[in-house]
Amino acid sequence: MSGAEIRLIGCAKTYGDGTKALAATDLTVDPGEVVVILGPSGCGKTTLLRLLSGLDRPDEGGRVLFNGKDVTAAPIEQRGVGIVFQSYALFPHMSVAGNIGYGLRVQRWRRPERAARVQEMLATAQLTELAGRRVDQLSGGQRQRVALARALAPRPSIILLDEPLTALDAGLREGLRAEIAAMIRAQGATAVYVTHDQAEALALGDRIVVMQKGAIAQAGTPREVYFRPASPYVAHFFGIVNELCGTVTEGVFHSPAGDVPVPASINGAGQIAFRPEALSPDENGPLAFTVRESVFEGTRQRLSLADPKGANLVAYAPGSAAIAPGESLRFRLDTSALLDAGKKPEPARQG
Amino acid sequence: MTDGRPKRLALAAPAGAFLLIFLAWPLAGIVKEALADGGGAFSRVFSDPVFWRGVRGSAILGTLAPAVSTVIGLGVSLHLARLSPARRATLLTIIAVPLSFSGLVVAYGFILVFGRAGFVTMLLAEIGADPAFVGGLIYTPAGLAIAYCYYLIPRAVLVILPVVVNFEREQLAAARALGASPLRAFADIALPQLMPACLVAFALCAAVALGAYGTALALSGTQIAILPMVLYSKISDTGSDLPAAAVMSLVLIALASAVMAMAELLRPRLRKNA
Amino acid sequence: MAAVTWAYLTYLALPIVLLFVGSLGESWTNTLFPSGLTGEWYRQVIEDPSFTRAFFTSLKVTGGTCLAGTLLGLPLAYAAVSATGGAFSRLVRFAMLVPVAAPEITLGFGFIIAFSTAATPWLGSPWLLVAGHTLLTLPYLVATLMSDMAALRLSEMEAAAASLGAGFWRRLLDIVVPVSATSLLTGLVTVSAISIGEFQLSNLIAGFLDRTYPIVLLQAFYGATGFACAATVILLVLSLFTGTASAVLSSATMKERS
Repeated sequence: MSGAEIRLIGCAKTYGDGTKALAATDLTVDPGEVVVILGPSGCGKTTLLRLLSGLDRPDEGGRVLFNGKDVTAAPIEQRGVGIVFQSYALFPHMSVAGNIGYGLRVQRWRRPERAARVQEMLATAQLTELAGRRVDQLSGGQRQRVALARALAPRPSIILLDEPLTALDAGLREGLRAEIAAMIRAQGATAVYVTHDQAEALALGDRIVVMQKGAIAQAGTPREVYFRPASPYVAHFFGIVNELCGTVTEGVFHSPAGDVPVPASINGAGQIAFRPEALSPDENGPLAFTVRESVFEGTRQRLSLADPKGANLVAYAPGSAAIAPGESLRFRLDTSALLDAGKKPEPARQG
Repeated sequence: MTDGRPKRLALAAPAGAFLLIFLAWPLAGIVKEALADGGGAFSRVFSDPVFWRGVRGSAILGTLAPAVSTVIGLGVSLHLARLSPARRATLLTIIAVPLSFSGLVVAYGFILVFGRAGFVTMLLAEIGADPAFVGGLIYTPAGLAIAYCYYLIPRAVLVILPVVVNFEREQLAAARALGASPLRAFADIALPQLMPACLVAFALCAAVALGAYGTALALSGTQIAILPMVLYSKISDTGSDLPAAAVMSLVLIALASAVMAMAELLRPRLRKNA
Repeated sequence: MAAVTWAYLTYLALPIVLLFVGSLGESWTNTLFPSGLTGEWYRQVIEDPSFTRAFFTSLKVTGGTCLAGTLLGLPLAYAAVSATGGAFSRLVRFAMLVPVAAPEITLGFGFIIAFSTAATPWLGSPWLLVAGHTLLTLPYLVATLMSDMAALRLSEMEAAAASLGAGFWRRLLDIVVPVSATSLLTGLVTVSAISIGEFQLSNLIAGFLDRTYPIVLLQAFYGATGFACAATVILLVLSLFTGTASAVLSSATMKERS
């Protein structure tokens, strides 16, 4: 089963109480693509997912197309999408196998094929030994896998996942993340995955759609949104941003902390921005900062730095040697990793 | 705090004594009376056609009234569960008020609404329904069931509503995403999970419906053939057969207790779901 | 689904509205609504000595039932909740099911047999009526008290008081009674609501001079419609007050708990 193409055209959503949850939005997801919708709570990402699933209808004028077919008015049961809910919404009165087989039963699969498919999904999700268990006897991670297996069992061409890992312990998430990715890709279904967790988004997505206040802030590959954020909002959303003030003349950035050669693409900028990992300790480096605080994190230590004008920056150093506050350290800057924040973003594919 | 143990039992002693005198002893009295003539009362009662007419009436009343109450209670609960907690609490308060209404108030109110010259009877007569037939309905066990619903439905709602409120609605969306129609999703997913609550509500309502006689007495004197009414006639008749009345009491207690026990046995399953 | 609720609320309201309407109408025979407006029926009920007597008897019985319920129920609920092991608590819960499961008419018949012997000739006395009402209402009072005491973690509060040096009786007075006061009030309102409208047991065991209001009310049903309506409305208003208070208080305690 191959994935379907998803197109949202001019989809806005205003709720009954007048809340504008989503501004008119265009989005195309290619067949088989895994798109992660990322944003803080209240940014409209869940609304977007509800429009796709049919749980909600877009405002007048918005259209939802699956493989070119208009499904805007189709009820949820006729859309053929698999959904994994944040709470899993497992059926407590059915066994694990009963849950996984429910969609096949409703869709009138013949009995032998149904049994074979349930066995297959149980094996894929590593639930074979638990087939007869009641779902309230399962651990969180096992429930999660049942929910995913149930959604994938009828071979939907589209699968929607609403924060599927949020309810789990941090320790479990990473392992399950890989399993989810593997299961979705093995199915070939087009996947839309909603989360507020950046690490999850970067690890899972073919493409990431960052949302802010009911609108798409940027859509692009994980590396695009991480290294070439379209706005300070997106840049800050993916982690710490260091900013250094100064001037660029003839390919050299002059700042109170030192002078650094920069690529020709950057000229006349009042400041450059980069992530902490672009900065590394180097006795012969061009930049000098004072250490304000160091926090030992095991494999590395996190340094809070100040430039001569008092601006704050963050950098990491190997954890082995202790660095005391007050020390002055020299750093080298990887100028290929400068952020483009504030500049015009690449025209992202938004429709 | 082991020092408190004898004192605590002492605290329970007055209530214990009270229950012995006013519950255990009267119940023992009934058993003794029923056996007073060496079991003859049992055969008299069980060969009495009036008793069997009462059993039949009570069977109709004890099935119909709780069934209607449970279905309507479920419908009302499904609606209330969708409202905001504040509105739900308000409506629930209104619905819970009739719980403590005297059966007599309900009876006379129903005479005014459904009696031979009742409001609804007259309204229906306008569109051609025979007032003699409609007005006669509340004096039958089936019609009486509709009156009983007045104070049974609140009981049903109070049992069913918490379970409906705690039901995870996303399960219905999940079922529909897998291809089930709204009706099918409700039947496959919601109903099985609400069933224990409905059964408890049914049993509680049935226990009340089986034992009540006030409403029936106020509506139709002793005319209506239900078990507690037959018993009431036996008790209030002068020179009556007390052992036979005791046997009927035992039958009634056994029926009501059996139904009530069913409700109590099912109750723990509610808490697990809720 | 909204339709079901509204249809149901109409079904709830219709008898009540018609009782009020009927009690104020001059005459009402074979018409949709009565004709004329009068307060005459209420005057007649109030001037009828058997009704006024029954009214005050009902209030006295309800008051006595609340008092007896408090004296018996509060200690019982406390003993049941704080008992260790749970066996005693289960026993109390079971004992409290019996008066609910046994139909009132059978309890009444049991009273007739048990309390008309030469040694116990109490049938027809007002305090036997109080005992009967206490028996019927005790389960509701004890259930309210027990669930509130458990939810408020009374035993933990008591342990805290004990660790500060308070003895058994001291804790009872300083902790148990004040903490249970709201719960007791809620329970007693429910007790009043049940007691004031109680007919099925009272009708069998009340003496002629100590008939409660509902018993006398039954006689009114065979008279004029307006008179019956007015007499019923009086009981209805009492029930509405106690019933609403009971419903509001129990939902309020439910909210506090959650």
